[in-house]
Amino acid sequence: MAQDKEDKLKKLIQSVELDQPKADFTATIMQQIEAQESLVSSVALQVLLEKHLMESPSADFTENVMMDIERLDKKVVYEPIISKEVWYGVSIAAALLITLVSFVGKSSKTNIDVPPLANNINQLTGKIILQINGLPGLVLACLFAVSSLLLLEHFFSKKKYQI
Amino acid sequence: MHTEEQAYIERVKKGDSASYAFLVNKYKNMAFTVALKIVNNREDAEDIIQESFLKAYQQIHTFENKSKFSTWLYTIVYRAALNKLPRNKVDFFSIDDEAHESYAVDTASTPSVSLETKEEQQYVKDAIQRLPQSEALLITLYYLNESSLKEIEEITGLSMNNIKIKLFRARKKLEQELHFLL
Repeated sequence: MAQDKEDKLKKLIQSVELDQPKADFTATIMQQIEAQESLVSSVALQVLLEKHLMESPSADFTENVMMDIERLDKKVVYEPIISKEVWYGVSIAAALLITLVSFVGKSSKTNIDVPPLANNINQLTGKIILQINGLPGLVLACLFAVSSLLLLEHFFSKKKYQI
Repeated sequence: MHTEEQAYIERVKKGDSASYAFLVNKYKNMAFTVALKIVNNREDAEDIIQESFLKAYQQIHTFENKSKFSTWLYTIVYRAALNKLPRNKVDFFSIDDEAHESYAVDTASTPSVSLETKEEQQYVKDAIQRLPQSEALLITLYYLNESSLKEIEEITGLSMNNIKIKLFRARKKLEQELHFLL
C-alpha cells in the first residue's frame, strides 16, 4: 500500500515538466567553451604576432601631425577692412541723401522757393556730378573697381572661414 | 577608458592642441599597421593616418566616449584607407570566400632549426602577407589591438558572423603555417 502510494507520487512528480532555461542556452554554453578553447590555443599565436606584426610610421610622424595641427589652429580668420558700423553709417548717409535729393527734386517742380539748405545740397550734388562727369575714363574705371572690391569684400567677410 | 587618456582627450577638446601629441604617439603604430594592411604601401598608409589624425582632431568634439577612442580613431583610418582603394578592391574587404582558397600553406619551407628573431619576423610577416587582406586586417585588430568582436564590427562594418568566420580561418592558417614557431 505504502509502495503504491510512493509509485503514484513518483509518477505524479515525473509527469511535471522540468523547468527549462532559455532556448539558446546550449548554444551560449558551447560558444563560451569554444571561446575559451580558442583563447588558449591562440595565446601563443598572439604572442608571436604581437612580437612581429606591429609596423611604425616614419620617425618624425608625430612632429608632422602636430605641425599640421598648429597650422590648422593658426589659420587666419579674416576680419573685414571696413567695420559694420561704418557700413551702417554709409548706408544711412546714402539713404538720407537720396531722400533729400528726391524731395528737393519734387519740391523744385512745384515750388519756386527752394529752401536754402536743400538748394545748397542740390547745387553741391549737381557740382559733384558735373565733376565726376569731367573726370577721365580711367579714373572712373578705377573708382568703379575699388567700389566693386569693397562691396565684394563686404559680402565675403560675412562668411566666416571655417576649418 | 583609461583616465589618463580621457584627461588628454578632454584637454584637446578644451583647446589644448599640444595634448593631442599623447594620443598620436599612443595610436600611430596601430593606425599605421591597420592602414598598411589595407593599402599595402607604406607611403600611402602614412598619408592616410596623417589625414585621419587631423580629421580626428577636427572632430574630437563629436567623440562622446560611447566607444574606445582607439575604436573611433581606427574607424576613421579604416574608412580613409578604403577611400584610397580602387572600387574593385573595396569589395575585397567584405566577403571574399574565394580569396582564402588560394592560400596554400608553405610547409615545404618549414625550417627545423631554431630561428633568429629577424628570420622569425620574416616568417610571420610572410604568413600574414599570404592571408587575404581582410583576414590580415582582422587578425591585426583582434590580436594586436585586442579589439573585441563588437569593436571590430564597429570599425569595419562587417557582420559579426563574417568576422568570426574570417578570424577562425585566418587563425587556422596561421597556426598551420607557423606551427614551428608556436
